[in-house]
Amino acid sequence: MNENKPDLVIHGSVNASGGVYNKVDVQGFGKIKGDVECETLHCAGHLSITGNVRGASAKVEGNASISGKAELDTIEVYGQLDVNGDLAFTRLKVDGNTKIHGSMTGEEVKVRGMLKTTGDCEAEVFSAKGAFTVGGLLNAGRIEVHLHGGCEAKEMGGEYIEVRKAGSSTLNKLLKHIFNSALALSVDSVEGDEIYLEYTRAKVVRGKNVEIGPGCEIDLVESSEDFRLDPGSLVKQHVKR
Amino acid sequence: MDPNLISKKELLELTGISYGQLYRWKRKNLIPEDWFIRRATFTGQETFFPREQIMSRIAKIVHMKDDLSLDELADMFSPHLAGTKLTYDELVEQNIVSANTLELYTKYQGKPEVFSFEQVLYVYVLNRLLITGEMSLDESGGLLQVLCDHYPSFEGKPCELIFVRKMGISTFVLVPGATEVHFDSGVKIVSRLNLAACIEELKAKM
Repeated sequence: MNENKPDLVIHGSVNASGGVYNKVDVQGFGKIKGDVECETLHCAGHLSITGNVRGASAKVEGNASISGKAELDTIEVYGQLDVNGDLAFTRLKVDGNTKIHGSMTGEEVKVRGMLKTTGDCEAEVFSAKGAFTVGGLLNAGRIEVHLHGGCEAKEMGGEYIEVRKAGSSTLNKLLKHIFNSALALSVDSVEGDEIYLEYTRAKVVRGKNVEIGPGCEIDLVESSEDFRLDPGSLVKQHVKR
Repeated sequence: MDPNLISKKELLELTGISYGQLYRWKRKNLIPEDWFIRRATFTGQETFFPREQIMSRIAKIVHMKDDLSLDELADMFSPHLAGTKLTYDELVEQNIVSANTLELYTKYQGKPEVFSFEQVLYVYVLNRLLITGEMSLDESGGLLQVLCDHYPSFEGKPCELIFVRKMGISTFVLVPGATEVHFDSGVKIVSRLNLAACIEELKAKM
């Protein structure tokens, strides 16, 4: 605890100014004008920040929007988080809904809800059991996707890439209605060392060992070592090099 | 196709690295974002790289990755100036620049207590142009002035130093990286120096 840094606790409707805080806790309706630096950020109500945010941890159970960029060590989103700039983090857990107008970089991303970023997404581990849209390149050492909703990326690249269809649980059926889209991944190009794909529409897939599971539609597959194809998938062209 | 560019596929074939390695190095900022040039080709969109830069960068990474961690490598390649500080004597002892060049630098800029990395870079560039014989002693004032006054405003972004002469009058220009510059026909481009590459060389020496 740092005695010099005050806590900012918002109950009811409050307009506050940015600055250096120890704890920012929003239960009601808060507006903060200016850059915010804090140890912990907790939002259970409605919070909008006009400026950039820096902090150690953030937990969003309500609705939070940040007009600038954000740098936070650990982020947990159960409600909705909007960032109108780049997002940097170590660990990001999205159980609710997160939208980023920019690029995101971090170590670990776990998606169980919905994640949308207009730019690139870089992480060491990216695991998704929900829906995601990446407007640019999804680049991660390990990409594990269980398709629960419509997933989209412009490009995917990494060492290990695995895309599987999720089991038909009740939750899954429910999600399908909510997201109102087919359980599939649509991507322009997938490039990696080890690749396993199911229910994926892609223009190009390039890799060392490539296995195409059921439900895929791929224009071109290039593999340097192993290539296996499920009969329930369509690959227009395969090149070995 | 532009012969100065190399496609991603050709690059992997020539260097023997895998897609995974390439993406990992990109994530670790060993390969700068602006080297990834996306072009539309008849097979769809493909990624190209500046041929010479990427080949030498990958050769360096492959060569050094056993001795240094990826983060250490990233530090070395980063165009951001390191926090190192060196004294006058250390600079001469470590053979980074010659004593004569340092003498010259102090004549124009005064003798600082310790040299910041930025200042070391200026001396290094000065040293280099003098050694190659492209620049005369009298011209070094202009060089140091443009570097000291304007290099900090690039804030570590890649930039290039262009040294031109026309009718015996010399001019130094600092431009952002990969910009095309055109001069009238009376102008002779004496030297073009990529400062990011200079920083890299300098970091390897320190």
